[in-house]
Parts: sequence; structure tokens; C-alpha cells
Amino acid sequence: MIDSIRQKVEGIRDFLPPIPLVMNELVQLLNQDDVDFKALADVISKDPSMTMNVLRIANSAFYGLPNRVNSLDHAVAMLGIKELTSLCMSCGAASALAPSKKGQKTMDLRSFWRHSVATGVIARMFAVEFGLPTSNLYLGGLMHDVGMVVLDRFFHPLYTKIVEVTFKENMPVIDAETRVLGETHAKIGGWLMEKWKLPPLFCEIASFHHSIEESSGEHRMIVSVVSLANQVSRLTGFGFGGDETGMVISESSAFQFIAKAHPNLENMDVAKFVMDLDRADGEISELERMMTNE
Amino acid sequence: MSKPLTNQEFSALRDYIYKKAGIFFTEKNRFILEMRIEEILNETGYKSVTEYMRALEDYKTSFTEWNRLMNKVTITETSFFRDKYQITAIEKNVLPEIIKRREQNGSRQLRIWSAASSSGEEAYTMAILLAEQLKEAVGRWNIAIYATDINENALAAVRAGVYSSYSLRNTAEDIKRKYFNKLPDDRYEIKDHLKKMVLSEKCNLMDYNASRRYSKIDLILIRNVLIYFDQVSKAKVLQMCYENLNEKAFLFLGHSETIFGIANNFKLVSFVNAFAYMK
Repeated sequence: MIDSIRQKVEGIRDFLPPIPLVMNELVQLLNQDDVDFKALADVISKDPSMTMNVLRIANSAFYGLPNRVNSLDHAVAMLGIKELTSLCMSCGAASALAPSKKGQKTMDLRSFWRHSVATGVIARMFAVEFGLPTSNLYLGGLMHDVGMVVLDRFFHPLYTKIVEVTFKENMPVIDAETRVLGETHAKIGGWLMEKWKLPPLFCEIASFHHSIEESSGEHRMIVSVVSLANQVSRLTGFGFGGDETGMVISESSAFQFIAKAHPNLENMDVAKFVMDLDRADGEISELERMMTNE
Repeated sequence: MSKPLTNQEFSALRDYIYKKAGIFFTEKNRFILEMRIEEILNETGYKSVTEYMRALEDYKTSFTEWNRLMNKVTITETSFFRDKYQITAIEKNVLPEIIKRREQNGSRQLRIWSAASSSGEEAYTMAILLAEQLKEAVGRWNIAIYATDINENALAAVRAGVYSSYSLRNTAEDIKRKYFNKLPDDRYEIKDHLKKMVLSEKCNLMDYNASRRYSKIDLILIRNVLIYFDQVSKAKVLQMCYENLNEKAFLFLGHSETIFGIANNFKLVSFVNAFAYMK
């Protein structure tokens, strides 16, 4: 049984969903060091809803910009071209991963995106708090668990079983996946990011957000921030998949890695910081509604 | 409307209570003290706060009056299954963990301390959770749930084990049926086999020697109590709790209380919307 699952999982590589055209063009831009605004505007113009969504997010509490952003030109001036490209990607993420067949049985996609949005928002808040660069963090948080969508798409009954085991035995989801499937959403998410040719940062976030020590030195800080945000979003009620285990945050490898570079983290009141994340609830709900087009 | 205390009366009484019980009435909570002291003066016939304070100091009356004062000023409202996130963390993580640990070292003994138990809802909630978790094996375990408080009226309520339906507002129907006898007056009495798990005793948390009797504990609950203590008393109580806990055993405070900068020897454990402190 496990062998045939293994083959099937390996086979996922070949059947991973193709990246939608507009997203593909955005990825190409994301991979460039110097993005030309006209090129970005051209891409976005192919998807009318994208401009609207990007402007809505740019004007949301998430960025907290002092003035209202009314046009893409203005958004570029305020956010920078890289962040804007990343934001465009995030607007397309949910539809790119939406089930192709109508009525297909899926996991609770709403809570899934809620968790993903929360992870992105919290990752950015961490970065602001620790004085780290914030660009790409929202998209990184949003996409860190894409492997779960893929797993669910190909193995819905098994995935339901994984969620059940996670909840009933109260174990980390990654352990339940290893037990039931022999493979994890992290690995599969990494495959998808590679197939879609996203920049290495995003492949690493998807692959290593449960094992930051496997990430490259270049991206380990960002991977750690998303890893931490992933756990914290679960622990502040934005969890997904039934994992209710506890953890000593300050002993997690992600926290310790960040603390090495930012010793003031050691003196942080973690409980207060986590409790204060309540202030992000409004932003998370707002972004979630945009994400799921409500 | 209670008669306001003069500043001098208020600070004398506040300091006296603080010295003996570690409970500190801030300006914000001054009205509570004023309300309670007025009740006491009406009950006892003492004519003024000064006269009452003399009675507190007089060896002939001090025992009675100190208990009366504590019984008045430490009334707290609580309920079964209070704070669902903390209860879930205890149910899903903490109890399975401490049960597993005790099983591994073959002792089959559990010691839980509800350290400011008020009328006992918290202690009995723990008894219910253990009964649910251990099922028929519960009889093979040696379980001691200490419910201690400084307030004697509260302790009498623990021993009676009778609660209003309001106290059980967060309790599921099947749990009510399983663990309570419904009385004709719409109140609920906790069943005898749970009463036997809970031991109620008087304890002033500021009395170090008395508190240290509750040692080798697997789980301490001291929720929404330290908010009435100042930093120094808080630190003392937390240190006492630390000493009373087994290695890697857990302490729960109220859901928004943090001990950062007061007791740094504990490890903060995060659960979903709840924190615990681990030795």
C-alpha cells in the first residue's frame, strides 16, 4: 500500500497543475532583478480583477499607507515594484489553485486560505518588529502550505484521513502526513514552486518551513520568519488541519535562528507579543475576504 | 452607596491587607474595599474603620475579624469549564502528558492544585476531565486535587459541591448528566466519586510554609488571582509554585496574565489561544 502511495506521490510531480498564464508572466518578472514598470502593467492589464484587488490590498490596513492609492503608478511609488509584483502574485494565488472541476470534494479551502493569509500578515509583522526586510513575506506566507492543496487535490480521502489523525491523536500535521502518506506537504509544495519556476526563496519557504535547518544560508532568515509565523498563526486561532499541540516558541529552531542575529529577541515577552497579535485580526479578515472573493 | 473611606483609612486598611495576604487594592479597586468594609461595619456594629482596625489587631478578636475580612474581600465569580481555550489545552495536551509521564515512571499518582479555588468549580472541572480521560482506569489512580483558598465560605462551598445552573453555563449536557445530581431546586450537586478526588483546605498563598505543603504537583492553576498582587508578592507566589511543581509540570494563570520579568525560571508553552508555564 505504502509503495503504491509512494509511486503516486512521486507521480504528482508530473501531474502538478500548470501555472496560469498571467501568473507565469508575473513569476518571470519576480525572477528579474530589475523589473520594468511597463512590463508589469502590461501583465496586470490582462486580468482586470487583479488591478482592483491589488489596489484594495495596497489600501488595506496591512500596509498602513498614509495616503489613498488610486492607481498602479501610485502603488509602485508607495510599495516598490518588487513588492507590487509579489502582491499581484498573491492576488492570483487562490484562483490558480482553485479546483478545476466544479463540485469536486476538497478540504476546507476557506480555513486554509485564512491560515495562509494570517501567516503572511504575521510574518510581515514579525519582520517589522525585528527590523528585517518585509518584501515578499506576504506572498511567502500565503504560499507556504500550497503542498496541502496539491495533496488534497490528488489524495482527497487520504488527506481527510491525515486531518483526522492529526486531530484525534493531537500530533503535528507533518508527523501525521509522514505516518499516513510517507511524504509531507512541505516537500510537495516545494515541487510545485519549482515546477512553477518561482524564485528559490519561495521554493525554500514551501519546502523547509518545518525544517529551517535544511534551507540555504541565503534564505534561512526569511524561511525562519515564515516558519515562526506559521506556528504563531496556528496558536492564535488561525490554524488549519486540527493540530492543537503546544510548543515552547523560544526553543523552536526558527526562533533561535532569528535570535542569534537579533539578540533583543531573547528579551522579548513572547506571551505579550503573541497576545498583541489580536490587533491583526481585522487585517487578516479583510485580506481573507479579498482572497476568497467575498 | 457605600461611605467612602478617607485617604488615611483606605491606605491603612490597604497596607494591612497587603502585609498579611499580599493582596493589593489599587486606587482603581478602592470602591470594592469601600463596599466590603461598609458591609462589615453593618454586620459587626463597629462604628468606624479605625475601630475595626483596632479589632483586627486585638488578639481577642483578630482571628474572627481577619477571617471575616478575607471572606468579604476575596469573593470571586467563577464557573465550570471557564476559559475554553485553556480547558482544551489542559484536556488535549497537559493531562495526557502528565498521565503519560506518571505511567512511564510507574507511579499512577496525580497531584493537581487549584491554588485559589474559590467555590471549587475549577477543581471539580479538573476532576471531570480526569474522569473522562482515564475512564474506567480512574479507580486505579491515586488522584489528589487540592482546592485551597483563604476564604472559608468558599471552602465550605467546595465541600458542599452544590452549584447553580449559572455556574454550569459552559458545561455540556452529557457532562451534567454524568457527573452531577440534579436537585429539585434546579441546582446541581457534584457526584461523590468526584468529591472524593478534591481536598479542600485553607491556605494563604503568601504563607510560604503553609503553601509548600502542596509539593510534587503536576499541574497548578492559579488563574486570575495574581492580578490582585503587587510585583513583589507575585514573584514570591510564583517562586513558591515553581518549587512545588514536579520537573516539567505545568502552571496556568489567567488567560491574559503574563509573568515576564517577574519569574524567569519558567518556560512559556504556547497552546492554541492559551499559555502555560512549565518548570
